[in-house]
Amino acid sequence: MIDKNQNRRDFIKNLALTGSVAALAASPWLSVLADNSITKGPNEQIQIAVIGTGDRGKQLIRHLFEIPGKPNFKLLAICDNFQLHLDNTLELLKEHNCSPKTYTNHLQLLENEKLDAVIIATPLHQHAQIAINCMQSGIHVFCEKAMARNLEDIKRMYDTHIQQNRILQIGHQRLFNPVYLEGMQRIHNGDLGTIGQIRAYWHRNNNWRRSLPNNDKSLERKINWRLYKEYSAGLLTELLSHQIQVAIWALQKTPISVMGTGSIRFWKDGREVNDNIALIYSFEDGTQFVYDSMTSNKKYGLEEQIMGHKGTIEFEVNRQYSETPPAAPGIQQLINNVEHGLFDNLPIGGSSWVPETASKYKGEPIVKTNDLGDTTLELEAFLKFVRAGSAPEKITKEGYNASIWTILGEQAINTGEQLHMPSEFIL
Amino acid sequence: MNDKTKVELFHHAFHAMNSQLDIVAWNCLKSDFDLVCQDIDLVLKHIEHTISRFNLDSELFFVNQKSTCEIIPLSADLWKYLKQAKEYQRITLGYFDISCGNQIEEIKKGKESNKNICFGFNETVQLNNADRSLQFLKKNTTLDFGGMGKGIALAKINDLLQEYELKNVFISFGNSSILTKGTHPHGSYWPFSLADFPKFKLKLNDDSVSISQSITKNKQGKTHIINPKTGEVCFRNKTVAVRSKNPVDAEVLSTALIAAPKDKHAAIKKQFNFIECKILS
Repeated sequence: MIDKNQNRRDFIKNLALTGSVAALAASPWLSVLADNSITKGPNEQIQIAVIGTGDRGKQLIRHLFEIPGKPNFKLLAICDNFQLHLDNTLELLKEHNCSPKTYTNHLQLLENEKLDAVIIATPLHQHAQIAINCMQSGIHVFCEKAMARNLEDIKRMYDTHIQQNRILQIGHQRLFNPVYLEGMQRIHNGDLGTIGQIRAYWHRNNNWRRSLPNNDKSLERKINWRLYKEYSAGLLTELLSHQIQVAIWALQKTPISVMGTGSIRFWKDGREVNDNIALIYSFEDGTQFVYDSMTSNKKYGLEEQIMGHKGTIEFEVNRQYSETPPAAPGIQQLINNVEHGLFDNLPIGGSSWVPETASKYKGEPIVKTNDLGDTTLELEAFLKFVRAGSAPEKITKEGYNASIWTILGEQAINTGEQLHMPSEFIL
Repeated sequence: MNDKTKVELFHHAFHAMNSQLDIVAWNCLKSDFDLVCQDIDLVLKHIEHTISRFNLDSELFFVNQKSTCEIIPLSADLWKYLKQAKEYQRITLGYFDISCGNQIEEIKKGKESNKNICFGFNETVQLNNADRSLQFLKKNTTLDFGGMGKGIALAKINDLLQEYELKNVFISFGNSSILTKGTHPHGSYWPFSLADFPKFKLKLNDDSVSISQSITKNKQGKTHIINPKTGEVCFRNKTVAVRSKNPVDAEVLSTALIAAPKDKHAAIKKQFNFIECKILS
C-alpha cells in the first residue's frame, strides 16, 4: 500500500518544483514544505506548549502527533484556565505516552518553561495578549485564526512579530491544502483568465451552542464564547475569516472596501452575534468578493467559487470548470492542419450515440487525492519554520490581512456603511 | 514563408446536450465570431431546457413525469418539435419514433427483450391541436428526442450563421453531427471522413452530415437504437452516413435506416431530400 503521507509529501514537492515564479511567489511556504532536509537533520528537539486546550486545541494536538517522519518535538506543557480542558487533554495524551506539565496561567508558563514555540487555541479575545507575551519572551507563535478581536490588537500582534523577529503563523489551514495549493497555482498562472468575482458561503443548520458541563450556567460565556460580542464576531471570525483569506490569496491583493448586513434571524436565544450575514468586498481592479453565511439552512454547505472569464474553481468540492472546453481531438487536428497550411482529410465522423449519457458536465478534479491533511501539514510547516528560525513573511501577512478585513466586515455590518481600511493598518 | 499559415482561425467549444459542440471558423471578424458563439450558447441552453429528457429543469422532463390521466399544456417550441417528430414517424414508416424513450432506457439498464416493443407515437401520444396540449395514451411512455436533438440544434445554428454572415464554418457536435459552411482555408471544400471508414470521404460545403452506428467497428460501447416495431436492439454491425442540406432530416434518416430492415430502406429514403446516403459495414 502506498504511504499516504509520502503521497502528500511527493505532491507538495512536485508542486514546489514545477510551480511558476508567480505561483511560488504567491505561496512561498511551498518550498519550505518540500524541503525534507529541515526535519531530517539531527537538530535539537523543539520544545512546545499548547495554550488553550478546548476542542480546537485538542484537535491541533492530535494533528501534531500525526506529523509523519520524526518531527523531533516535545510537548513540554499545556495551559488552559479551565481545569476540565486540561484533564481531558492529559487523558488524550496518554495514548502518546506524553505527560506534559499543566498551567492555568500563560504568564506562569512563560516564566517557568524554556520554550521554542507555542500553539495558541484560546477563545479569540485572548489571542492577542498571549501571543504578544510569548513573542516578547522570544517564543515563536502558531495562533488559531482569526488573529484578534479588534483591529488594534491585530496590528499589535503583527508589530510584535516584526519587532521581536519571531514567527507568527495564523491557523489558515487551506494555505497547506493540496487542492488549494494546486488550484492557486492554476489561478496565478492565469488558467481561469480574468477573475471577476469570487463567491463564498458557509451555511450550517445548528445552533452553534455547546452544552454546559453539569449544566452550570455560570460557564455559559466561557463555553459559548463564540456567541458573545465581547469575545467573538461569530460567523465572521469563525467562518468568513477562512474564506476571505482564500479570496485574498487568490487575487494576490487586499480589498479596498467592504459593505455588509447581518441579523439574528433564527436563533433568538440570547446570543449577541448574528446568525445570518451577507457582505461584499470590492477590490481596486473591480473584482468583487460576495459572501454570505447562516446557521439555519445547510443545503448549500460551504464553498469558495473563483470565477474567471476562462473558468471556475470550486475549492471545497475539488473541481475546476472550463468556460470553453478544449477542442475535441479531431477538431484540434483540423486546427493544427490549418496552421501548418495542410488540407488533409478529417477522419472524425463517428457514432451518434457514444456521447449520449445522462451525465452533465461536472468539471474536472483539481487534484486526485482525497487525503488532504491540511492541518497536519500546517503544523509540520510550523515546526520546520521554527527549526529554521523564520517563516516566509507572506504567511503572516495572509493571516493579518484576512483578520483585518474580517473585523472591518463586522464594522461594516454594525455601521451600515461602506468601509475602507484605515491607513494605520495598511502594511 | 507559406502564406497559408497566416489564416486566422477561430475556435470555440460548448458542453451541451451531454456532448461537446466544436465550432471552427475563418475569414470573419473575431467580434462576429464571439457574438455568434454567445447566441449559440443561448440556443443550446434553450433547446436543452425544452427537449432534454435528462435535465431536471427541462419541459420534456416535466412532461415525461405525467400520467395518462393528465392533459399537459405545451410551449410553442415543444409543440413544434413534437409535431415534427410525429411527421418523421410517419414518413419513416414508424422506424423513427421518439415515444420509445422508456424502451431505450430499459435496454440501457440491460433488459433486452421483445417485451420492449414500442406501441408507436400515434398509439401512445395524443397531440391536441385545439389547446396545444399533450396526453399520454399508454402508461410508461417516455419521449426521447435523442435521435433528432442535435439536428434541431444544428438547424438553429445554421440560421445564426446566415444571420451573422459567417461564410466558412465547420461544426462538429460530438463527432456524429456535422454542419459546414463554405470551405476549408486551404481548399475548395471541407474534407471529411469517418473514423471507422476512412476511405469513405465527403467533400462538404454548405452541408450537414449525420452518422449513426448500431455498433462501432472496435465494438466499444453498445447501441441504444431499437427497431420500434419489434423492440429488437439493432446489433447489426452497420454505419449510416447521411449528407443533407437539412440537419434534422440527416439525423432522423440515419437513425431510421439503422432501425429499419433493408427491404424498407428504399421506401423510407424516398420520403427525404438528401444529397448522399451511405450504408457501411
